[in-house]
Amino acid sequence: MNTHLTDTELQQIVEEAAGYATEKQSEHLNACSLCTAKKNEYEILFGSLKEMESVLIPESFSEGVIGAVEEIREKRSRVVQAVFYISASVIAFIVLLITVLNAGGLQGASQSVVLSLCFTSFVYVCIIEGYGLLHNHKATLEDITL
Amino acid sequence: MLGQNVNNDKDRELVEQVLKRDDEAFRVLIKDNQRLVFSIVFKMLNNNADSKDVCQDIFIKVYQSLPGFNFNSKLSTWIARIAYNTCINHLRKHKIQLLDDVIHSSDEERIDENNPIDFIEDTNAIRPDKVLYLNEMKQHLEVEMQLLSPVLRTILVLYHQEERSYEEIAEIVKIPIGTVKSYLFRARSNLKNSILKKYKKEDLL
Repeated sequence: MNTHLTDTELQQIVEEAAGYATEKQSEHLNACSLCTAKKNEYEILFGSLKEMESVLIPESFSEGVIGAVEEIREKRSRVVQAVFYISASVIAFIVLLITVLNAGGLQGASQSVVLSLCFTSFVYVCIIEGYGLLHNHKATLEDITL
Repeated sequence: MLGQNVNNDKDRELVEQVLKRDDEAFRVLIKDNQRLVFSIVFKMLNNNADSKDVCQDIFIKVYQSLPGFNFNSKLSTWIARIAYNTCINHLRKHKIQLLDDVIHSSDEERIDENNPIDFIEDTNAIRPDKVLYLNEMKQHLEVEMQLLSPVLRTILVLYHQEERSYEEIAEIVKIPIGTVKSYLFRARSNLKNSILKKYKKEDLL
């Protein structure tokens, strides 16, 4: 085997250890100082790649992650709570409206006061909880998106 | 095969515990995989200041996506894939090139093959100058690694430091096994040549 070994062949030989080389390749390596030198260079490179310094992991890393996950769980429970409040206030408003209308309606000023109070509470719950819901939903989406 | 099944059973048990909101199980999952995640993130983002936060985000995503894990691969491979995807998204956001010309570099970059460096011929003998050389080599290697594209750096780290198989790397990076091999061989060849080139230049000074 007179032709020099290719870089790929040399890397395969280093990767798979000496057993990988064919008889012809071994013969060539024994006779050719150029290929032997290149093989040695790869051996050093492979060793250095393996021994490269690993990244230092902060000791509190796992606690930080668990804390962050806990916050997300809380956010989710707040979302569920907000959805519950909004749904409950919508249902209550509709029920009240139907009840008032079915009863023939309240008279004049009383009707306006009751409906205004109901409507104001409904809008208040929707604004407060809706804002919280949208805010949390946006943050949660950002966390989840892969 | 048996080893893989044992791993799969261990993974399944751990995932089930985490899904039951067992914080201790999640802590074990983090500890088992944090080295892998840190290696991928720090190599892909080149020790960028955001790296630690990105690692934390990855484990949060793992936690949130765990109900969808279907055990088609090892848990660590799946986590590595999430880490890789997160880094890709991060790099894309910062408009950093994922693969560069190093893959297609021509043979012009190769050093003069007829003039190999003689002081590394005898690698079996441990001499003081060789120890010095190896330390220097590691420093050069770190620098040269940073010049490689994020994808190549990751493939090198997964193969050499994390000792992942070609199949696992292909699954993590989502490229064919043949391409993984080709990238790996080309990256090592370029890495070796650029380090040797640098040594030659410094010798001339």
